[in-house]
Amino acid sequence: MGFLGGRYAIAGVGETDWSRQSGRTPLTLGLQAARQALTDAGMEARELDGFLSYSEGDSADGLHLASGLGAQPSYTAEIVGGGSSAEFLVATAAAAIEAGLCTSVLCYRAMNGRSGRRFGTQQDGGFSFDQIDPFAGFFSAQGMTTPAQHYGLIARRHMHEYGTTAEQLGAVALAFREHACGNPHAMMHDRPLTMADYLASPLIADPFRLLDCCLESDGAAACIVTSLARARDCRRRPVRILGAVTRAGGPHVYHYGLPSITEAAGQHVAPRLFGMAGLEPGDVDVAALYDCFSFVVLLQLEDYGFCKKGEGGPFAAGGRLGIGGDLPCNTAGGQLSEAYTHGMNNLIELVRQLRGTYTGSKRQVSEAEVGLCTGWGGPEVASGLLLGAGA
Amino acid sequence: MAEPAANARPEPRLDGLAAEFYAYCATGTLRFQRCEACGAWRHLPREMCPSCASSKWTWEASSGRGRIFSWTVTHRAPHPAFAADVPYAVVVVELEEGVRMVSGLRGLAPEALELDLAVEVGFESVSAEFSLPYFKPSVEGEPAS
Repeated sequence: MGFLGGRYAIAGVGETDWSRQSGRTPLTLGLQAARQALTDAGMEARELDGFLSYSEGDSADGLHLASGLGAQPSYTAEIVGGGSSAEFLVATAAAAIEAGLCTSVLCYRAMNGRSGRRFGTQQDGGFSFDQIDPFAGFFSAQGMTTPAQHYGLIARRHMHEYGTTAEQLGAVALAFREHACGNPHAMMHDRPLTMADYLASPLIADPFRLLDCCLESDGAAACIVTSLARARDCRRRPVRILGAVTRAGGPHVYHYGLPSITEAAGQHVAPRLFGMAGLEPGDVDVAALYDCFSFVVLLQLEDYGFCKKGEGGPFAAGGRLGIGGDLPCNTAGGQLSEAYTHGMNNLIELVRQLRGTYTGSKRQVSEAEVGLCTGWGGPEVASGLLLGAGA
Repeated sequence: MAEPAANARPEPRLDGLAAEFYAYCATGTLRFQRCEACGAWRHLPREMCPSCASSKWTWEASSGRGRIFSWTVTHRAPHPAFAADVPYAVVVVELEEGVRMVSGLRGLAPEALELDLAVEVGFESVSAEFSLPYFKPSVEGEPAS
């Protein structure tokens, strides 16, 4: 039952501090996150023989990271995969171990997303779709070069079709900010937010305001995937990989040509993911939904089956995403208010919730046994993990 | 060939099927691929039909007329070449043939955009090889330029 018979687990997690200017290279950041994950797991660096990362040409590669740790990898890979990658890495790590390529794998993302290569701008050597997408010229010639603009087109259409409002997008931003205020590590800790603040924040790519957009941050996050048997001997309670579906999507990546542009590829992921694990959306106790933009959370609430299509806005505005709500979501603040590491920080928080790390504090989701982690929220591709508190 | 200036407007790579699409634009014509096997129109240009997987197609003329399917208005330019243009709209147009295309908007203030607004294509000549297609409000009874 479950992904690869339920024989794999996450044994350790770690991250660096988050900042706007780390003053360190992605390699140094990656090493620091790796050491944190090793300490967390109670493992020696030489035990790591697999290294998996993803990049937009701005991370640290596995061979150099392994070398810096004094490890001798038998398997390294780097993928170009954007926000659907964290789940892809964890699934691939377990599959590589199952295939006998390696035994314990470090999955990580390291980036100077603010002081180095920025996603939100092409200035200062920032991101451009031209670097990864052969069709990008069709858009960049029209002044459309960043993710906010692409997702803005989807959000506007969703507003047309379902009556989604700015305040409903704001409800996501407010919920995650409240979580960040309970997380001393979050970049937006001690920056409480009201709906008036949200509505007053400047428009970036209408309908998105500044506070609909994820942070740009420097930092690294890592987790260690190994066998459940090995994880049981580690310092922490194992978190089991119950389900994994990677990169399911529509028939082609030009989603403006799909019949509907307001359905996330999560609709392709969800039935396979829940079916594999023998679970239903109602079984999820805590979620880490990809949040490059507030709006994307609404799409995924719909397409992973937590509410009907078009009702993501009312669902979020009903206060359900908070700790103590029906679906506590992005409980460290998410990429909107903790930090942006391309999804990896959300995964780490989910692991900690399932371990009961915060037991005794308001941050702990009560009886957190099943967690959902999703990657990307767009119509083209998505990936998902179902994780379970281990024994 | 000189490197383009950092603040130059980005232009599409004129290679492969994109070169064919923009060669028609340079003559003031909007053409899309149409599958010879099943008749489905498609955009962006690709080798195979996403509906039936046929690799036979022709470039067929579009009426150039369509309706606004969605839009976003950029208030903070992510690229320095567009800094003077904010706020500017990027629109998704659903053409009469059923194809959707992301493009620029001219002849209408972004705040006047409406769902299903009738628009028609126009072209701005950037260089001998490259003309940028855009959309503007339709004038009833007149053919698209």
